[in-house]
Amino acid sequence: MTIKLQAFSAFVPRHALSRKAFAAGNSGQRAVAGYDEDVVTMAVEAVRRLPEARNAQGRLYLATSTPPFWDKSNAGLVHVACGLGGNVQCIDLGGLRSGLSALQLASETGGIAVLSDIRTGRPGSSEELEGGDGAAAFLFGEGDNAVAEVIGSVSRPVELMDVWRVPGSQWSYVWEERFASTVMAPVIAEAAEALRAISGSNAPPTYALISALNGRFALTAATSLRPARGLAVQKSHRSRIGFCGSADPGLLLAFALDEAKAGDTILLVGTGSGADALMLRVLRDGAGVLKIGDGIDLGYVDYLSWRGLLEREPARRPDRPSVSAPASFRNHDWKFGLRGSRCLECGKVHLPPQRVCSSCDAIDRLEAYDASGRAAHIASFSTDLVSDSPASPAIAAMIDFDGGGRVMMELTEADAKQIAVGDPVELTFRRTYEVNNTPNYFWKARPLNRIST
Amino acid sequence: MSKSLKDRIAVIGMGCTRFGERWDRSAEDLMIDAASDAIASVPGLRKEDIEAYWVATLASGHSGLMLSRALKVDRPVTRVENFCASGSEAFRNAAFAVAAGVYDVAMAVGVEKLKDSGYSGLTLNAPPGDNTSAEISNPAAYAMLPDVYTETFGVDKGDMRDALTHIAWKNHSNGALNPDRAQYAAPVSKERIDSAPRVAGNLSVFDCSGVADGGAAAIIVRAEDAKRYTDKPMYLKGMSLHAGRCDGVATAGRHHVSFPEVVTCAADAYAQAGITNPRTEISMAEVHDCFTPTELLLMEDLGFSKRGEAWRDVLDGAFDLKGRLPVNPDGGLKSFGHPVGASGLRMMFELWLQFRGEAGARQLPDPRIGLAHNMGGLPGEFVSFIGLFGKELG
Repeated sequence: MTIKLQAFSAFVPRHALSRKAFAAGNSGQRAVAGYDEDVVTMAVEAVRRLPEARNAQGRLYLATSTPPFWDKSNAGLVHVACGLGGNVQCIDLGGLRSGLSALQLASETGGIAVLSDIRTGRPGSSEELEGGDGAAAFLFGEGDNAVAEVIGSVSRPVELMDVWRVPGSQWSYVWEERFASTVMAPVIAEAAEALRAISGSNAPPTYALISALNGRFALTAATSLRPARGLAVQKSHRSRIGFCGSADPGLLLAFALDEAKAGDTILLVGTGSGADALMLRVLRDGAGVLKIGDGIDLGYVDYLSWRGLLEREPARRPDRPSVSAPASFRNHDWKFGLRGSRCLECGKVHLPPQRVCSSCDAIDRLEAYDASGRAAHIASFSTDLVSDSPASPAIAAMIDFDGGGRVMMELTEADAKQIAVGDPVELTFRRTYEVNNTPNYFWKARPLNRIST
Repeated sequence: MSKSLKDRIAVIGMGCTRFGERWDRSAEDLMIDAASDAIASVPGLRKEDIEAYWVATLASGHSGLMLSRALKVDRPVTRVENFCASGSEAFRNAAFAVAAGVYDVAMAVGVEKLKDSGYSGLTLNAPPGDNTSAEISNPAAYAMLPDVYTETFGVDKGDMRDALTHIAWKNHSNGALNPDRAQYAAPVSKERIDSAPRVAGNLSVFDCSGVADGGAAAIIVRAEDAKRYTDKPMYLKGMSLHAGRCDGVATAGRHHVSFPEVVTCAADAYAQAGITNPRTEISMAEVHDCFTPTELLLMEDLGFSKRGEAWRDVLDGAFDLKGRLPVNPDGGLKSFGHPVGASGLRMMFELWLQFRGEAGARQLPDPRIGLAHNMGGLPGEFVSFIGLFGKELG
């Protein structure tokens, strides 16, 4: 048996910024992570969408250029929030080109590659306007029902000051775009030729997907590779989502796989200080489920404030308490996995876990109860204009789970005028609030019927 | 002076967790562990038999719900807080309710989860204020005591340091005989204590109580009912609480060679119990040794030593495990650890074990009357509790 791509998923945040907000002639939207989303939460969304993710063995690669933590492992956070096995090696990869590196590595070693990124630029810049936020995840391993197999993998490093960011900066520095285009065009052509030689076929690929900061260059480079099915995937990706940094090749690949037919070939190139490239052969028809509708239009001021580029007036109150590291560690099953307990004697469910059963008084007779993927609904709710939220009013809700259990939670991506008691919700791992620039995470409930697919 | 509850209240069951850095235990866990131990110590007693609860903590929870949620009880539950004397306060209020006949069986629970704060010391959420108070650590406030004592009584500073070292050595030696529950259950040599780096003034970490997590619990009934539950109950002989007017920190010329709140409190408790000579009538004492100089001064305030002579009694071994009046045989705050809300009940737990002959390697020969002294605050402004307990009625 050889390692093949067994499953894939994509996550595009619900909110979007319309480019016509800047100039009437602009079109399309860029995807925008919510105020309570970041690289970790989007990666968790993507990995949790992978079928069989929890059975993944070996390795978890997280590729991003905007990790919420240095020193501390971001892949480790994704690992615990996805309930992956205790012996999984968690590997953090950095930089724009890390996305394709993660795909190359996972295709060789097996495991999950999750690519997640948030792109910011100076207000009004093309980096801001053409950027996008999102994540994609890929499960590599052995199996009889693989989605695709990797035919070839090449790397062509070039030391190039085309785009760079220094620690602490919110912006990339970008050299004159024609310079990078001129240098990189032959590098991409050469990588493609190397993959063609490996594949042993002279036919052009079915898909040629180029991930590059400059969208026009990416299209030109893809065109030159004469893909049989044209450039629709890349064009719609750039138009509706935008360049997603390290996650960009992952989203391109996921959308192509979703519409591809068995036997198609996909050439995927990631750029930035050189190029890495993969050639894949599709083994299974795509399911055609990744339909990205219009995003919920976000005002530009809200966008700037959510990204921390515009300081909003804070609620006038003392700082929130910081997280206690021992308490967070003790309760990590609950905090990161939304795992409560079920009484072994009487079956009563407790969220969070309780050592003493509230129903039959049994002590320390419990098993884990995973509430994170369960069907749930709103038992009652209220708007909350007192709690400090970047998307005021916050909505507090009592969530009841099918199978037992109830938690008071915050709703996200919800409009109080459009929800009702009894509405179904799903649970989503979110960034709650920061203390001393340190993010805190927990779960929120999201109305199930109101999200863009 | 308060009225006496002598021989009207009995403890019929107790529990106490291991104290220390319990990273794997929450305040809820510690309450469950201590309360379960206490219930299990009374054959046939069920959780449903307990009619009311008082729970003590300085900062590890709020309201009676902190206990009712953890233990899953539908009962009256009251949270009390009185600084480091909180655990005794839970006992005191539960005893009042039982003595009044409102409840037949009540439980006092004390708990503190200090090691979640990220600070190796006590944390306190002070009410919002003008922030004019100097930022002075607890060790620094107590480190002022030794020099005042030596100057007032003309004691050599070296002798004083030797006495403080002896107290630390004694309490660590006692704690070493308490390996199942004490935070620091290893003996420490006097040389190591003397050579340790100072944290404030002339005090090192060996002069400070252990910063710990822990829980303790006591089940209380009226004395006449006690034998229905156990052959070996522990009887309350006297109980006093005193909060001073805090003028010790505001009165020029006041010397802290004595804690007046403790003196008042002791006189009250002794009168209730009919004790006229504590030196000879008390078999053992658990005292609030938050810092070694505190224990030294308490020996005089509690009447165990004459004024100005406690240092000499300490060095003579009067309060050692085999001395004339063993003090802190379980290791005290120093070695057993000081999870604030639990400490007062932990002191009573040692009396309970000693009276029942269950104190293992540190068992004293037939103690009859024991004292538990628990206090909170700083020199000059204390709330002080004293409980006197006996093995038998009469």
